[in-house]
Amino acid sequence: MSVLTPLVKVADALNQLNAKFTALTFQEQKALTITERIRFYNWTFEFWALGVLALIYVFHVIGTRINKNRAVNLFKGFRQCFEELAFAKIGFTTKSGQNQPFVAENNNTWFTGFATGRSSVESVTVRARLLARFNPLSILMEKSLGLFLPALFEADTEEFVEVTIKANGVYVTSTTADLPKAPSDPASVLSKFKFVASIVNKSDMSKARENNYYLSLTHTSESEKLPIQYVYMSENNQLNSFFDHYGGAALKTLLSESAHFLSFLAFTDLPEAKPITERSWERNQQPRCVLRFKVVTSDADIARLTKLVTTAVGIVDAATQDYVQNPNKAFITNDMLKRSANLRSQELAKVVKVMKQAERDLLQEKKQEQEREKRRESRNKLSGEEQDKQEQKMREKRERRQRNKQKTRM
Amino acid sequence: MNPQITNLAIMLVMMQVSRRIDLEDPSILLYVRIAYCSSVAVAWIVYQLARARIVKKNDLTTLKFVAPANTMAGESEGKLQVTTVRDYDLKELDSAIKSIYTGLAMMGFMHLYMKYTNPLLMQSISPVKSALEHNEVKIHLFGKPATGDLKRPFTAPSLFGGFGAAPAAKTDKKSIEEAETAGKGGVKAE
Repeated sequence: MSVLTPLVKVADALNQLNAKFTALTFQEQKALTITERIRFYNWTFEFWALGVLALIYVFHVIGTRINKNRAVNLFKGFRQCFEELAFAKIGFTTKSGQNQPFVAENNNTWFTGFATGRSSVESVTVRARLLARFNPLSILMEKSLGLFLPALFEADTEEFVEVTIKANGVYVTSTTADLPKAPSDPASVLSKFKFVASIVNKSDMSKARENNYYLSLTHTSESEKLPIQYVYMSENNQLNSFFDHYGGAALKTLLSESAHFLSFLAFTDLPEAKPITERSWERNQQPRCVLRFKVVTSDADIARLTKLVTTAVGIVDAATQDYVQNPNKAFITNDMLKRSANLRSQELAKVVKVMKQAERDLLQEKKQEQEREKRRESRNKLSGEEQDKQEQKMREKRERRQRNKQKTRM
Repeated sequence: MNPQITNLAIMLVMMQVSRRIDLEDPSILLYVRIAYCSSVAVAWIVYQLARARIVKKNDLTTLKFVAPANTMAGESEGKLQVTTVRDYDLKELDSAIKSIYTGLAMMGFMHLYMKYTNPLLMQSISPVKSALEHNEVKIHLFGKPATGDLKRPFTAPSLFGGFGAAPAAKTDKKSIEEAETAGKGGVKAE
């Protein structure tokens, strides 16, 4: 029994549908008029094929619409949140001058929103990634393969919303106040954000550490200050109280209400992707707050999500205000920053070491290749007799070496 | 007794039984099919019951360990796993349930497509046996304490005692601390 038997059976059954038509001789077919041919031909397979095409189109329209509606709902919540937070510029402006709350890419599966122009915050970027609902077959395939090969397919079948709040180190006292004429050095304020402190949902601990370089440098610790569903992941345990200091009890309540969709809330300056060169280490350092959520659809959850974003902006605000107006009151002390700086220099040393080793290996490889090339060239220059002589010499050399090796073994 | 040894013994016994039974007889074939299907169904129900208990218990105690390196995936060092007791138990149980589905698919292919009946008979005990011997079932259905052999993370029992056993996960403080701050996350495929 051949493996292809079922396929052959299906093909035979399909051919059987029009056995009557194909059995006609060329002359008989020629004798039929177009309408007779249309009537005589069995169109079942073609109708099924058209039906499948129509179904694919319907799925495409419905899937795209679902994704778009979800994004519209989500970004409506964000817009309201950003307006309350007094951002000067929300969304994107099109060429025609229209304001667009978000940009959709990849057939309504990737969405990006943006807001800027505010005290303490350089910008907020919202990235939402939704499933390709317009292609249910691919989802089914990815999910079923993901069951058996999770490492390969899990990343593609995950929906998420990620909010990145970048600090700017400039504090303005109120929404109506002018920008400070001589702001205290924003770079020095930003340098106070060079630490990793985060609150991570217990159901996402391993995944969060695996996907984010900055979290893979932290210690995991449980605390009574947090709802049971979360842990702290911070560079050192002192930093755990950062959230309690600036977020207060309201944050704890909000966290327990958001346990079913919040993956993590992290303050970091290190990159998400592991840096492999010294340059990428330096280039990708940016003090920011990252919030990662599962995609939510209900209004209540969207309200909670945006409230969390508001709280995170509030923490950036409060910390910046402390650094600018009263550095002695700030939670992050120089001692904590020194420890963080130590860790960074150790990590940088590791990156440099790996980079140098890779460079050495590459150089070695190149050198060996050059030597081989040189030997080949010099051999090609010799006459046939000389080549034979040299080969004989090499053979003897190899044999001698082997004999010596055997001797030492014995 | 080591479950793998008993599995082997059962397999040998069933092999002898299958030789003495006329598997061409349609009524016997029906009974063999019923036996296999009910065995798989019982195993599935046992796992689902244990699963429901785990979900109901919702034990969110943090569990940290360094899983042994997966040499097949090209890993040279172990990976830190930070999870909860609930998630660990669910993962273990889900992999057992997945193995039921894989077994079903294999058996479906062998019996329905290749027309073999012997494996059906030989496999009509082991699903239930494996389910009842599963560590999670022992803990959550039989109420055994999660200590000794049942301490998480579980170690896979070896056929020849300690020799040839799969490397165990590391749970000592030093290994965990080293792995915790190793900075191995965020490696993106290019």
